Amino acid sequence: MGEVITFTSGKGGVGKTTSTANVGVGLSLLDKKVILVDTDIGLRNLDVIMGLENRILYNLVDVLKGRCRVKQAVIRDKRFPNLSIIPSSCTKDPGSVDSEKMKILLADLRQEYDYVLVDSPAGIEQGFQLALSDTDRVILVTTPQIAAIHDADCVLQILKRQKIGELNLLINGFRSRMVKEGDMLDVPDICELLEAKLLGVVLEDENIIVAQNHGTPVMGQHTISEGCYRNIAKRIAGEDIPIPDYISSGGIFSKLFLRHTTAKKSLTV
Amino acid sequence: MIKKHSGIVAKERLKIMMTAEKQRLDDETLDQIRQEIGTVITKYVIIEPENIEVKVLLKDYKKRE
Repeated sequence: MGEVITFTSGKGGVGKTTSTANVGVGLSLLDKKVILVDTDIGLRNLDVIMGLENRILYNLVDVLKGRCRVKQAVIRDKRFPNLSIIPSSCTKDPGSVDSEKMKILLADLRQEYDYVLVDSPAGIEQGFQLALSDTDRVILVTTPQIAAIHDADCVLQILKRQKIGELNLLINGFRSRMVKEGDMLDVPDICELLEAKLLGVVLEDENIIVAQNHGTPVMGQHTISEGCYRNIAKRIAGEDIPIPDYISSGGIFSKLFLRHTTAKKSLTV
Repeated sequence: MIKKHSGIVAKERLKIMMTAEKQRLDDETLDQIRQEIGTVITKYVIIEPENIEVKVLLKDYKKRE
């Protein structure tokens, strides 16, 4: 039985799709069978980031509406033999899609893949709920910016109410220089504010934009963010990889990684 | 020129925002609190439940609702 992992954030533009794509590639390189599912209905971009936009025949909406079989919507990435994606649609009127149908689809995909990575849209509306239909783990993506952290907390409160299994935090776009100068929240600050288990930190990397211009993930490009994504994939697969402290070199954030596993907060009346 | 060391400012602002948002109760919960307090009072005082009015206030007497 495969694991369903949903990437979500609240705020847009913090790197949900980039993280889904690169963590997905990272897991596939660990010899895991991976499928990426884009649930941002009406605004597809996972296939664009992966450079697979010319290979779409059917999409997620077609599958959920029964217009095609699941296999017809699956695109196999020829560069990474263990990796496939189901793209989203790009129609003006997305219509309503049934989260019960999504559950059935995810159950099917669990049978065939080791990891089903669901890329959720920004916001907390229909697509967000669709992405959470049947998930084992949620990876909350945020940048160290104030609005992103604030929205991440809003999403976190919703997720806690819905009693989602495991909640992980992925800090993206981390700039060591700005943190050293006191102008960016550091990893411990963010972990103190957001009650979720830290899964990894991805350093700010211009190469991501360059790679995406070419329609390729940063995995295999030997850039600074590549190592970060590779480690996150290994941690998901169960390897014990410490999170480096990018500020005081040599240190690790292992304590933080473990700290929130049992943390619970009661409602203040 | 914008003041530097803004990270600490961001953290403080976030703490205040998040605490306030977590303490905000939805109408459903407030109604439930009122009802439960009313039930407790009727256990000890002879009074009709509709004559009980419960107001939820913050400790610093700032009106919450």
